[in-house]
Amino acid sequence: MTPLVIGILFTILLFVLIGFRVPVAVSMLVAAIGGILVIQGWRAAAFQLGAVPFASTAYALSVVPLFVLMGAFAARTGLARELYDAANAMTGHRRGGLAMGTVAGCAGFSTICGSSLATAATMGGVSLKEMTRYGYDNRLSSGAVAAGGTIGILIPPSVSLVIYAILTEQSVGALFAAGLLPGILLTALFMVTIWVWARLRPSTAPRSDRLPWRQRLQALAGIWAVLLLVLLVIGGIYTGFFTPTESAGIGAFGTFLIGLARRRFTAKILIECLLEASVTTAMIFLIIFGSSLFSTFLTVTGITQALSALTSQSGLAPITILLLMLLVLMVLGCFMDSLGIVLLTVPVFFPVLMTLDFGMGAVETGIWFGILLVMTVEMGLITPPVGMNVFIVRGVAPDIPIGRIYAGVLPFLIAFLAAIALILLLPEIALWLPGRLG
Amino acid sequence: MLAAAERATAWTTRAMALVGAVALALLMVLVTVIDVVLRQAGLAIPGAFELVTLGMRVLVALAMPYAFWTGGHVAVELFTDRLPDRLRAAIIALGLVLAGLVMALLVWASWGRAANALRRGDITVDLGMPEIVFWIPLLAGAALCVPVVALMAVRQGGIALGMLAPKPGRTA
Repeated sequence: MTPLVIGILFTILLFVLIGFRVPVAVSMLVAAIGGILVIQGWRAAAFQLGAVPFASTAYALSVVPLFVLMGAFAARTGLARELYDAANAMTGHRRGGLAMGTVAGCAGFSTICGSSLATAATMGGVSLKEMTRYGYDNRLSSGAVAAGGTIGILIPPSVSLVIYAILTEQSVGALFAAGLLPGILLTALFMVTIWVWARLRPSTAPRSDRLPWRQRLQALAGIWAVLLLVLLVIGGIYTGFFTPTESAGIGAFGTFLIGLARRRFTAKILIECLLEASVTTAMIFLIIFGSSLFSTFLTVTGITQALSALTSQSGLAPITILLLMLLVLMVLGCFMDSLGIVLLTVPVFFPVLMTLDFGMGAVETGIWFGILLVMTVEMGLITPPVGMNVFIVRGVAPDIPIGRIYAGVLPFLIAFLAAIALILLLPEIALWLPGRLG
Repeated sequence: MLAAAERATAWTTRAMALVGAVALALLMVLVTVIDVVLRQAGLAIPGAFELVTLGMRVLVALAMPYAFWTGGHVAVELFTDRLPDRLRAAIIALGLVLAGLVMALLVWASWGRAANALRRGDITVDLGMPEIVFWIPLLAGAALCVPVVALMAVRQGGIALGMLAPKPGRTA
């Protein structure tokens, strides 16, 4: 058997293991050890495996636990309430306005939280009751929360973008800058979706009370703490004043101080935040271990080179190949966790993609693909059968049947696809800001 | 007997994860206060880089057994969810055995590297710390995953063989 055939067989084994509920990280490690063992023998497999824990916990990755911790703190500061109130003060009196406020609130919360699941859970806890109180159809309310949560990963900080940046040796700052406009685009498209929904079925999206401007401005002033933090963290990275790790540290520390000043943190809550962030980090790193050995395995088997050769011989246009990759990501997104997909597919897709000519530089291609990849994978959070954000909403509001949440999410999925298509057609949406910031 | 072992494991893994959580808190303070603030004040302390890396390794390694124990590791449950309880438990048990083997291999293979660093007396560049210090948490955390996962496999195996009742809510 050639290394390539062995590589393909062990990749199939990987998916079989994942299907049989073996943790994704363990599946990757098993497939990679097995593959390297068969091709290069026991000593090589042990040698590569032994290098994994040390090599995969290098300094650059210390940004991950800090951003995760920032999100854990943010969820408990009560800032979600202010963000939702501020957004509602502006939109609430319109038809569908409370749902629009939810989406805008999610976008606001995304600036202090790098996780989609945390965004959906936190914003859902604040906004679902409010929408129910005003008689919103629960498909619209739950759909808006589940979809709104996905903005969390695009608007910086974003844990997935950090990991993509480290895997592909791109600048975290550039990727964060690249995610901002697509995040705003996605927010806008979600709002348009709600507007259309409210037009077609006015009774499902009633108006709430119109606030006088004085009160609106007061509500807006309530989010100063968030603005300050965003300015520090994201501004610090963009300007290069802080390294990503330092920005993440400042973000976590700043969110901690805000929670403390607002008297939201008891010793128990603090321990809860730290423990939750530690476990999430451990989970992420075990997948990074798996992914790092799996990359080595791909190199040893020559799968990546074979795929590159195949794509160049196939005569397919680069954009067709990119679309095929996004299709694979979309299918994986229906079943797998998003970070797992990023860590599993980037070692295969990225080198192949770098050999293709999209009429832009290598750095731009890498950034553009990063945004498309993260968006496509995140869409999986709201697609059946395994839509994690849908499950999260169900957890917050157990009385809404899962089928109704999926029905509510459907129009937002169309908006999501439209956003991805726009960024495919107009890469400048992602590339303009990083280009400006140099 | 199994229940007692499970209680002890729950306690131990949580205690270790709490130490990891303390490391995370220190990491946050270290990065912001020592690294950023002192650097701005022109009082940069050499070795912050190494301490951050060490803190992260302690955190990741010590929280790992707890992540296994609480079912924190990402797995695809869709295809096994509709299976009968005992068959599902058997599949989960096999997966756990595999996880235990992989973690044991990982510890064994890394130990080879760590032992080399120890034998050579490698030290870090900035602080002159023995490099083995960086290996110890990683090895300890990964090593503890093995008995934790084994215990989980025993429970699932017991369910698969019909010797234990399926416990709802616990996933692998």
